[in-house]
Amino acid sequence: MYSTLNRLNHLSSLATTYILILLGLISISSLITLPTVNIGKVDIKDLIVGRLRRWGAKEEDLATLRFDVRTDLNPLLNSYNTKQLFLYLTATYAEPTGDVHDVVLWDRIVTRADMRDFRAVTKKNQAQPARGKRGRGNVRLEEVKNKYPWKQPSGSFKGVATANFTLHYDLMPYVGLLSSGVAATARGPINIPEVIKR
Amino acid sequence: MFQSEIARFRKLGVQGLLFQALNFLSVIASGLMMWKALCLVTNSESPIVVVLSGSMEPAFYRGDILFLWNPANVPYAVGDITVYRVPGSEIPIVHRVIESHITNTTQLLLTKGDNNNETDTMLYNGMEWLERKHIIGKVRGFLPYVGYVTIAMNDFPKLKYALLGAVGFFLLIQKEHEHA
Amino acid sequence: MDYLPAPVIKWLEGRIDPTSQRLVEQYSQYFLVLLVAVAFVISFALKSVMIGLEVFLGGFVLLLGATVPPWPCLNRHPIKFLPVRQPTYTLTKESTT
Repeated sequence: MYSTLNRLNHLSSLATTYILILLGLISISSLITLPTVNIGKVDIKDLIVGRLRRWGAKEEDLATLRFDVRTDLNPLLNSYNTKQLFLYLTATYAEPTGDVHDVVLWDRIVTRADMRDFRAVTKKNQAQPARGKRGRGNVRLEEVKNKYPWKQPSGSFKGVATANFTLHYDLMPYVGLLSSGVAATARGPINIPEVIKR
Repeated sequence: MFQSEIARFRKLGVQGLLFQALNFLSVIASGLMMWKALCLVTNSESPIVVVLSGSMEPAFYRGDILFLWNPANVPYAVGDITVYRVPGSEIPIVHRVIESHITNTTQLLLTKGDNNNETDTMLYNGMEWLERKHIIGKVRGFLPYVGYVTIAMNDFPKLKYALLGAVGFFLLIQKEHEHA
Repeated sequence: MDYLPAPVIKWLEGRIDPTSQRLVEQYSQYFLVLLVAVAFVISFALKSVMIGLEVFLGGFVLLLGATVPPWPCLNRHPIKFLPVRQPTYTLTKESTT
């Protein structure tokens, strides 16, 4: 501590230690106070399995669907250490052979900066509603199409009777540990229909 | 110009120089030991990584530090952010799992960057799916910006030499005060 | 360091007396502990990580300003050296040759 450089050096290394302690406190306290989510509702509509036929490619089944979601993410978005939420809708299903599949059908990034009620409506004859009030995170999705193609590695949905649909969230903090959970679920397993013959 | 410094090195003698070298090596060895211990605890070959690309924005930006965990015997789930390295490419990639197909023998995974429009099939060097053996770990903890120093040193090599020069200079000054 | 002009060296060195060195060391530790506590409470109350970091950085800059330059008050306890004694003997060897 005798000279300028020595003091600068010493205090900087002290401050580095203390800022890490501060970040640790922030991370731990935000994990302890992480709010629980009231699990919302997912409705699956128009689930169709078709067969893709393309020249030069193997025939394969392709499932498409539309879905509604109603859930309230305000507690999570207003939480202390939330930088962004990553929302994703998954279909989970098993085959008689014992294979277990887990597929993301749709996702969306909600950052704290642009947090607001958000709605997405993709029905043709319905106008896009205005953006919701700022500072709130009510999720209202209506008639949203799946974003990623839903296929099977084997090429066929044969033997798959039902699937469970869940909207998950993945919470990205400003600093610290990531956490994730369920934001909304469909009521019970949904039947997978037969392939449409054309 | 550097006469006084050179003279001081002479004064240290062979024994003094060797002692300095030993000190230096023990610092490196203890660092390596801590790294390897962390590897053992997290079961990951590289438990701390720096984000190099913007493909996971706005979750991770260039220069953020990620802490990885690779729990043995626990399959990776959809939604996990994984770090993987495919054979034939050097750089590990941080992307999210969007498909998982567990069969009797293996787990097939498909990943995608949150900020990318396409899935990662193009990055797999001809493979159709990712498997567990390619994955280094999943992201558990996050520390923003701190890793930017390493990126800056890679992007601007001159900065690296400037930094090394500054460290050397300060070491010399430090020693002079001890003698004074 | 010998190739820099003397005033620059003096300014760079900015020496303070040993008593102040000890006090600066001690009080900067207390100050930083307090600062972490205050920054954490404020950021938790306002639910903003950014504000916590800003409070910490602000406090740290204040600390640097208070301790790094050699303020006159950091040289209030100079070491009192013993007075230089006049040699009471003569070097006989030189005188004889």
